[in-house]
Amino acid sequence: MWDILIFFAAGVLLGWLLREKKKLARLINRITSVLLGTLIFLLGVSAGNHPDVASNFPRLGLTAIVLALGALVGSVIFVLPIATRIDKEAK
Amino acid sequence: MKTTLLFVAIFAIGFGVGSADLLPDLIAFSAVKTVILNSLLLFIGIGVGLDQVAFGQLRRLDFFSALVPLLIALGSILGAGLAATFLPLVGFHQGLAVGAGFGFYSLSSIILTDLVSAELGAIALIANLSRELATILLAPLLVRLLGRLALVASAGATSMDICLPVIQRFSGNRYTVIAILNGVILTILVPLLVPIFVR
Repeated sequence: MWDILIFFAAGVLLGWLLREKKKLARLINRITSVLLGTLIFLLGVSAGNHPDVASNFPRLGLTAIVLALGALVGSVIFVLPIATRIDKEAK
Repeated sequence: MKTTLLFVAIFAIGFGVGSADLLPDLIAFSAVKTVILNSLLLFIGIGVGLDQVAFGQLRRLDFFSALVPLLIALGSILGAGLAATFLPLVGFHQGLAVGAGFGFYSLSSIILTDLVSAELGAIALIANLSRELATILLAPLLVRLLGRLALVASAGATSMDICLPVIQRFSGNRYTVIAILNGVILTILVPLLVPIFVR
């Protein structure tokens, strides 16, 4: 767990230190996309290779969609009480 | 939208390659994954740190605008946790962890693959991708039925990047500040909260 936080925090700090380098953002964005594409490919490979995941894929997908729906509906319901207030404030 | 669909396609191709057993060397493979994962965390962090427009918005933070991401976080986590109690494949705590991805599919899925299993990582990836896709597709409906802030809530952490153009179009220009603020805070919360629920 700590390595996750350390790598992320180190990145934020590094980015903040380099904040004057305006052109860097596009390059970082491109690197992130390539890494992300590779990682998603590898996640797909391990999912396909994993006997539990592959044989269960429709059920996993359905589970994921129900969880997404729960998260989406939950967050929308929780902000409703302050929606009017925020609407007045947002200018 | 285009990027999201591209990632869905890449995942599907990877899935095909995996099931056909075309890449059998899984030991070397998992080391490669760790390296990519850590570099990705580093680069996502750099992107967040570099984004001065987003960081500048943090100065506008007052009580009610700080409440927005906190309520979205709470609703998202509890909503997914509640949904998990009806699902045989995931436990309550795993549901909370998937909900704490806030639509940030790359970060939440790599953390859960690393800490729990490929299975939960895949669920987090599909769940958070679906949330983002649903937000983009349902944007006009969400705003009409539940108001402008509902779209920001639905977008979660992606309200600062992928869903920002959609929010600008359907919630209006004046919602872009709150959307960026919300995205920055939720993005920072993802790596802090996801591991807590599955330890």
